[in-house]
Formats: sequence, structure tokens, C-alpha cells
Amino acid sequence: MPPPPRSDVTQLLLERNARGAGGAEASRQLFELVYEELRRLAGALMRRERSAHTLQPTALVHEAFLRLVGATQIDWQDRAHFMGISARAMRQVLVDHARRHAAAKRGGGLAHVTLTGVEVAAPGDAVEVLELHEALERFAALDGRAARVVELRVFGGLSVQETAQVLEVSPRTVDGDWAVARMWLTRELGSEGAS
Amino acid sequence: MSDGRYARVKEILLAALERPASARAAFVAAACPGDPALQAEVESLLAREETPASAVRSGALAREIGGALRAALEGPGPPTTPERIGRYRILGPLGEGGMGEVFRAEQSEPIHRVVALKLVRRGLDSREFIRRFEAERQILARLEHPGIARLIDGGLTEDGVPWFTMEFVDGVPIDRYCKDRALPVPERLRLFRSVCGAVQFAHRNLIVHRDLKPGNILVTPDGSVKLLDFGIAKVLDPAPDDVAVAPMTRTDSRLLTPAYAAPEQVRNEPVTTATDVYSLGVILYELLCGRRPYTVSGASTHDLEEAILTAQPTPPSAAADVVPPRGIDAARLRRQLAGDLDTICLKALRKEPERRYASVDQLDDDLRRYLEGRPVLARRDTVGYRTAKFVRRHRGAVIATAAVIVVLAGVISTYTVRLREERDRARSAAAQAELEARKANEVAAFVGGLFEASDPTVARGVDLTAGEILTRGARRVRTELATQPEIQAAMLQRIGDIYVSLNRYDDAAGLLDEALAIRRRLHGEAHPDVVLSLRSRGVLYDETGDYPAAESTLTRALELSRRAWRPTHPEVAESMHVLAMLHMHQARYADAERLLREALAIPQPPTGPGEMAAATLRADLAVVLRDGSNQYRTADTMLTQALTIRRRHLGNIHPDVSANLIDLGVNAYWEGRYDVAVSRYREALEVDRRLYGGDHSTVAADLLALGQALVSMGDPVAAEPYLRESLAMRRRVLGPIHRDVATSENDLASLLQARGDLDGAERLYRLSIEHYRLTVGEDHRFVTNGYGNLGNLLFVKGKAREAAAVLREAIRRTAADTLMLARRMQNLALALGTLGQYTEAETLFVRALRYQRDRLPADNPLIGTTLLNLGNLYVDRGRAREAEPRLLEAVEILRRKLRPGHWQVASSLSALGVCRAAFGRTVEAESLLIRGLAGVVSGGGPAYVKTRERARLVRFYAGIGRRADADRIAAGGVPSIPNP
Repeated sequence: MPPPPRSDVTQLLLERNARGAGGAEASRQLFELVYEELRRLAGALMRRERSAHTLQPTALVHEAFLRLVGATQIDWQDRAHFMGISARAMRQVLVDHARRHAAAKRGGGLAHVTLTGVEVAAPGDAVEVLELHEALERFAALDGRAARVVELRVFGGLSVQETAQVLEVSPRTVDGDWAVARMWLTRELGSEGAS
Repeated sequence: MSDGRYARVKEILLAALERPASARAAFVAAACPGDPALQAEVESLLAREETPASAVRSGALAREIGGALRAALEGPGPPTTPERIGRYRILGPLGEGGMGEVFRAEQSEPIHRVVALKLVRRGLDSREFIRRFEAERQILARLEHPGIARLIDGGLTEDGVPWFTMEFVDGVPIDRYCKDRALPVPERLRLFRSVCGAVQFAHRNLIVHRDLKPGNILVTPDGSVKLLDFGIAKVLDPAPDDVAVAPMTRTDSRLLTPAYAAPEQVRNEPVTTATDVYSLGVILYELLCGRRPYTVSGASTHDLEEAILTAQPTPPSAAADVVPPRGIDAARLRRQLAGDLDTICLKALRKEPERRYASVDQLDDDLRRYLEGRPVLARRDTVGYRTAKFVRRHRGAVIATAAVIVVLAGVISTYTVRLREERDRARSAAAQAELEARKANEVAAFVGGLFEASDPTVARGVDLTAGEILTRGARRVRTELATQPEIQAAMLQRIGDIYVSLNRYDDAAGLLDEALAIRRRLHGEAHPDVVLSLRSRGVLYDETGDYPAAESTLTRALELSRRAWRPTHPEVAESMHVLAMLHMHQARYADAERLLREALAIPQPPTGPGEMAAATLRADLAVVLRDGSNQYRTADTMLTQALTIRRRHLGNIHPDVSANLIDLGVNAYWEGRYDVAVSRYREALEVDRRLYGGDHSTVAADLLALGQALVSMGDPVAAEPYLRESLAMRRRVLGPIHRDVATSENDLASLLQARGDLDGAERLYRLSIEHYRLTVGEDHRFVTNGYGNLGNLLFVKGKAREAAAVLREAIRRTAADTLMLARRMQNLALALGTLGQYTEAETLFVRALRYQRDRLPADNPLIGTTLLNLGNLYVDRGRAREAEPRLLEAVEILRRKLRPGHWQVASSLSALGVCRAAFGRTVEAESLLIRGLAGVVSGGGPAYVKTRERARLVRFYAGIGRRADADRIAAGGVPSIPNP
């Protein structure tokens, strides 16, 4: 399936700014478009690399951005929001993928996320997507915003600045959330898995 | 944790992070007055905080696009010294290096520290820089070694100029340090050896420095060395990664310091760890004699490169004329260098990478030998020696790859053995020598080629997995060796064997079939190669559980063996051996025994390999006798004999010795002598720890066995550290998804279950099953085991219905006539008992018991457990007469075989108490019931057992009208144990 025309995405990004139901609908459509595109990209990657199950989510998000939005002039905020949506979609893609494969009769490729630059597990370890996903869910119950910071940065590759923009908080707050989330997740995922 | 609680934790954490690391502990303690739980929570989180890695990857795209656009429009900006770069404040210049300027800079957030910041003022594509930096950063950040300055951060300035920061090192270049202090030669060598240590560490992490030179090796005032710029050369290399499309000349833009560049770098060929060996050689040369290996008149880069490519370096002893260390005259220095040190330097400086030291370790090792006055190895330089070393060079590469490499090393040794055999057949010595050289070279070149592909400097972006290396290998074998079918088949065969060891059975099957077909075409049927291929294929069928195919293949292999070799050839015995192993897996113990005895009857020379092969057969026969006819004593004797033989030939510290100890332990384990098993496993563990050092899959397996035996002994507390270490080690060594990781998860789960952490256990069991599915496939018996364990756990958790379903599935998949089946039937019976399906439960218990009695010594604790279960069922059905004798026997066995105070003993007492109450023997009954309840509580019995025994005592008191006692016990009181 070819990617949707770029103009659609740009249009949706603009519509998203509209108030009320129109904006929400645009966001939902945007999510679906991005989700589909990421799923397709990830799928292609997995088929190509049957044995190397390391996906770099942020690279995929960036690729999706280039394919869906490309060089179109969109403003910085729209880009940040696009990335915010992508982060969630990317997480969903990986989780769905992991679940599908977990359910599959015979393993072919359980997705591992390399948490680019985020030493959530022992350095160099790939963390199982589902494990991270579940840990993040647990963490979200404690600290929703900090969990979203992780989602944006890990799955979306957003910078502190961009994350701050999406969440409408100060970069300093993002830094703090990020630091605490990292410690919490490291502890959670770094354990023997027997917690 | 409540929300308010978490908010408090977070608040303290954030405040703590504001403070310097040294002040945090005190701050946290002060912030949590009188609340040790809060303090512990904060501390446990704070413990995960490490020096924050850089944030360079976040928002990289934005920078990439921004940087690239700017670069396209404006080109590189004019060099200015900014006040700030990223989050660093520039303090002042440190110097100017080959790649740009270096500054001292200061970081204030989130922690305060001084760093070295390098600006790369070179014609670099900033996009490309970021891409490479992204790819490398993670790898480089992993390089934590006291001798390596850590990479901290990197990015592009506003003007698109790449920069990076690293740990600030206060030191002087190693050459200056040596010169200033006039260090004598041994001191210089010691200093140099610590450089080797750091480089070797990086090589183990698959990182090649590429630009080693004295300026990158600083010595701090306390005399320790620090290497700078590790891996940076790769990031900054302006050539694309893909060598195939790289322009062949890039001398002009190269950032390397030509004086230390290796020939392959000058030639623009892929660099490997051998490149660093070369540069180290130049540095060593220079440290020893004060000059570099090539003296070129003038400063022409071209002449220098010409010399690097073609000139033979002067031995350092002959070059030692410039500034000898104080107190040593030139003549003395020359004598000191002549001989071993000359040899060592020149070996490191060989033009051909494969003729240098195969690893920095070896270079280091030779220097150590020299310092210890022992003979150095540098002199030996035969084909066989080099080949072996070549393989060894890569041994430490990636852990995933390491296993493959070790096995591939076997390619070489197999060849050596086979070549020796061919030599016996060769008509003339000359023909034989030629054959040997040709084959050894081809194999060496081939294996070497594989590892070049795994070298990080050749592979693009990602570490190659072992599987990928093999896939490439197989592809290359098919294309490049097409004209040499014999070698082609041998390599396909070996790669197939390695796939088997990686559990990639489908891939393995294809290759083995291919190898077999080639060999059949070449040799017909009754040929040694064909037999070897058939055997591999048959063993694979065996491994994947396709027993009929395995049987026909291995039977055929045995038939052909008798024609391919003389009937008494050791290979014929080996063909019998593998077929016997199949029969063992099929539980056809009689057939297995017959074949093993037949193989043992083939007369072998009583010494050397023959005796060793016999020891193996004997050890396997022991296992057959143990599993097939419960001849534990005989098995023990045979295994002990095998152990004696192996120890005599191999010494105490050898893998076969530890494997033998493990077999002895397993034997004792099945005999129910858990204490003996524990001590044998401990011995094996000790041997393997000495053999393998730290992390190793075999050590992990020993830890697991030891933990299991301790659990079975009823000592989960002692077991836990071993099981945890085993799991952690396997995850490190094998990665998170691996068959053996699944096994460790499974066993840790069983421990958690024994300790009462049922949720943790369930999670791990499910994880383990999943990992088994992914690695060995749905139909494998390991998955079945997982179901069995999970079913048991679900029952213990009180989910009897779910448990019954899972256990039925496990039983459906379990081979008939196995002890495992008896165990699972028993667990299913327990679940069915809870569900009120007593008739089926009783049938299952009785069948399990009969089966266990047939196969196990009369006092095996498993029999005790089944008797207890059956007794309990009768008690609950009011059939005290039938229950009592079984429970008495259970008490008898369990008391003797389990750790004192084990809850199963207590549970049997409690059930006996119910019987006695039914017979009207109230006093005995009370005493037994009380001891039973107290015992299951203190002995850590499962919750359902505690509940059951408590209910029994309550019912007893209620039945004899002692309401108050009944209420007290029902309310959770723990009875004190009366005097019996």
C-alpha cells in the first residue's frame, strides 16, 4: 500500500488545530495514518531482517515523518505534534507486533526495541517491547506525565524541547520527569523479571 | 504506593539530583526523617541514576535537517570560538589536534563537571556525522573502562559544525611521559601493557580505535593511562561505510595520522582489530627506541605511505641510537632490545594483518612473557599456528558471536584431524603437503572472511548476529566454493552443525541436506563423508523430535559406517553411539544399552583417545542404565570410572571432567540423594568457574543445577542466589530470548513458587514458555514441561479448573512411560480432587504411584509425595483405613529424604491426625494435627496446604466440642507444639 499523499497529513495537522470535534477527528485520522505507515515500514523491515529483531523506533518515526510530511513547510509546533502522535502510534505498532508474535505458533521475530540512548536495561540489552510497554503502563498509573515523556522520547525520538512543547510544560520539568522515569524504569526492568 | 507517596518520592529525588552526587545520600536521609521505607524507596531509585548519557539522539532529525540545510546553503561556517556549545560553556583552549580544536569546557546541568570538547573543523557532511555519531554513540557509551576516556556527548553547533565531548583527562602523551621521566625499558613495557589492556577491552566490545598514537594516549600524574578518542575516527571517517562504493583514494581528506597508520589504512581497505595491533606496534617501537619504524627524508606523506606499504622496518635494536633512557647507554639498550623485543615489535608491524598478532591480548601476553623471562610466542609462525590464532583473535568479539567462533574454531581442528587421516592415505609426502596447505589456507581464509564481515568497521550500523554471520557464510560457501565441492560440503556441514547449536533447526536442516547431497554425488554411499553427513542429519532429526526419520537416518549411517571403515574403526563405534543416544531419547533403553555395549566391545587402544572415547561411552551407558532400569549404583560406578579416566587424561580442570561431575550429580539427584547431588554440582561449578572465569553458559548451567538440587532438598533460600545468578548470567551471555534463558526462568519460577511468590512464578513460567516457543518451537518437550509447571502453579494458586486444562494438555503431549508423566498425572489429580472429580483423581494417583514404584528406588521422595497425595485424597473422602498405611509410609520416606522440617512431612502428620481422629484416638489425633499445622506454617508450605491443615484442626476441635480452640485456630492462631 502506497503511503497516503503528503498533503493529507499536512491538512490533518492543520485541522487538528481546529477546536472541538473536528480537531479530535483529525487527530484520530492522523493517528491511523501514522499507525498504518509505521506498521508498514516496520513490517518491511522485519521481513527484510528476519533474524535481527532490532528496530530503532525513532528511526522509523523519522522515516514516517519524511514519507508522510516530507519537506512540506509545516510549522515547528505541528511537527512536534506529529511526532507526539507518531510516538504513540509507534508504541502501538511495536506492542501489536510483539503480541502477534507472542501468539504465533512458532516464533519468527519478537520485536526488540533498542532504546536509543536510553539505558533502561543493562547497557546494550534490548528490552522486550511488551516488558517496556507494561512497565510504562504501571508507571503511568503513578506518574502519567512522566510516562508520556518516556513515550515521546523513546518511541518518538523527541528532544526535550519538543517534548516540552507537546506536553506544554517547561523543558526543566521534562528533564525532571525524564530523570525520575528513567530511574524507575531501570529499576523495574533491570530486575530479574521476577518482581 | 499511593499517589501521595509517589509524589513525595519524586520530589525528594528531584531535589537530590540537584545536589552533587557526594551529598545526595545525606540529603535523602535528612529528607526522610523517621521514614526508613521512604528512604529505601528513594535510595533504590537513586541507585539507578548514572551519569546521564547525552541527549544527542533526541531531536536529531531536527538538527539533521537544520544542519544539512544550512550546510547546503552556506557551506561550513567560519571558525569562531563560541562561548557555549550545547550545554557546555567553553573555558579555554586545550590544543589543536588532527581533527580540529580541543577545548576545556564545563557542564553545569544536570551535573557539574569539566569535559574536553572537540570541534571538528573538517570538510565533513554534518548530516553524515550525526548519522554516524548516532550509530556509534551507544556503542561508545558502553565502553566503560578505567583506561578509556568516556565519550559523553556530541552534536552540531548552530553553524553545523560537529562537536563531541569526552571525559577530561589531565595527563601528558605517553611518549613524552616516558621521555620526561627517563623510564627504563621494563617500566615502559608495563605502561604499554596497560594501554593494551584498554584497547583489548574495546576490541571485546567490537570497537576498533583506528587512530592510536601517543597523542591519544595520556598518562595521568599518578601513572595511569587513559585512551582518548576511541571509535571517533570511524565517526569522522569521511568515506562512506560501504567500501564497495568508496572512492579508492581518500588520502587527502583522511584524518588519520599517517605515521601510525597501518598498510590497510593507507590502502583504504577495511580496518580490523589487527589495525590497532599495528598502530600499537608503532607506538611500542617508538617507546622502545625513540624512533618510528620508517625514517623518511622530508615530510612527504606520499613517501611515508610508500614506506608503510613496502619497506621492511629496521629492528628497534638497530634503530636504538637516539635518546636512550638516562643511565643506559645505546649499546646496552641495543642488547636489551635485540631478540625478543625486536621480534615482538616486528610481528606487530607485519604488513599483512593476518600475520600480525592475532589480538592485542597476544601482543600483551608476549610482553608479559618477556617481562617474566619466559619464551615469547612471536617466533612461531606456521600456517596451522596462524590459523588457530586467527580464529582466536575474534574469540572475544561479541558474546553472541563468541559461541559460533568457538565452534568455528572446530572447523579448523576438524580439518586438522581429517587432514591427518588423508595424509595417511596420500601417496606421496609432497602431494600430501600440498593438499594440507591448500585446504588449511582455504578454510582459514574463509573463516577469516566471515569475521571480517562481523567486524564493526565493516558491518554497517548494526552488530551482526551470529546467525547473520552464518547466513553470509553459507551464501559465500555456495558461490565461492562452487568449484571445490568437497570443501564446500564440509563447510556447509559445519555451518549446519553450528545452526543446530543455535537452535535454528530449519536453517540447519537445509544446509545439512545440501552437504549430504553434494557428498553423495561426489562419493556415492559408503564413504566416510557421507556417513558423517548422515549422522549430523540424524542427530538433528533426533533433536527436533522426529524420531522415525532419525532412526532411519542413523541406522543407515551405522550400516554405511561398517562399509566405509573397517568394522572396528572408532567411527563405527561413534555411529553406534549416536544411534544409542536416539534410542535413549525414545526411551528404548534396552536397545540403547545393547548398542553402547556393542560399541564398548570394539577393542580400542587402552590409552589415549581410545580410552577417552570409551569413557564417553561408559558415561552414556551409565545414564541409560540409570534412566532405563534404575541401576543407580551401577551408573554411579561407571560414571566414577569415567571420571577417573578423564581426570587422568585431562587433569582436574577440564570441561569433560565437570560434565562428568554433573552426570554424577544428576544420578544422585534422581536417586533422591540431594545432598550428594549438591556437592557434585558444587564441584562441577568450581571446575567450570576456573575454566571459564566470569560469565559463561556452562557456569550458568552449573549454577542452575545446583540451585535445582537445593530447591529439591527443600532449601529455597540457599538456592535463590544460584538461580538468580544463573538467569542473570544467561541473559547477559545469550540475550533475552534463548532456550537456556527460558530454562533458567523456568527454574527461578519454581523457586519463587516454593517461596510463595506465586504471581512472580506465574509470570516467569509464562515468560519461559514463550521463550521456549520462540526458540525450540511449539511442539518441543520443553514447552510441554512449561505447561506442566504452569499447571501445577495454577493449581497452587487455587485456579484448579485452569490448572486441569493446562495439565491435560501437558499430559497429552507427554511421552508415555516416563516419570514426568507420573508427575503430571499426579498434579492433574490434585486439581481434579479440588474440583470434586475424585474418581478420576484416585485413578491417576494410583497409576502414578504404580509407575513410580516400578522405576524408582522404594524410598524415592517422589513416591513419598504421591503417597501423601493419595492419602490426603482418601482422608478427604472419609476413607481413613485406606489412607493410614499410605500416610505412614509417606512420613517414613519424606522424613528420611527431605530436609528436616519440610512441610510435606508436616502435611502427612496432619492427614494422619485425621485418620486417628476417625479411629477415635483423640489424643494422638490432636498432637498430630497440631504438629502438622505448625509444621506447614513454619516449613513454608503452599497456601492451600496451610488452609487445609488449619481447617482440619478446626474441624477436629469442633467435632469434639472444643469450640473455643476451634475458634482460636480458625482465627489464624498458630498452635504451640505439645510434647509428643
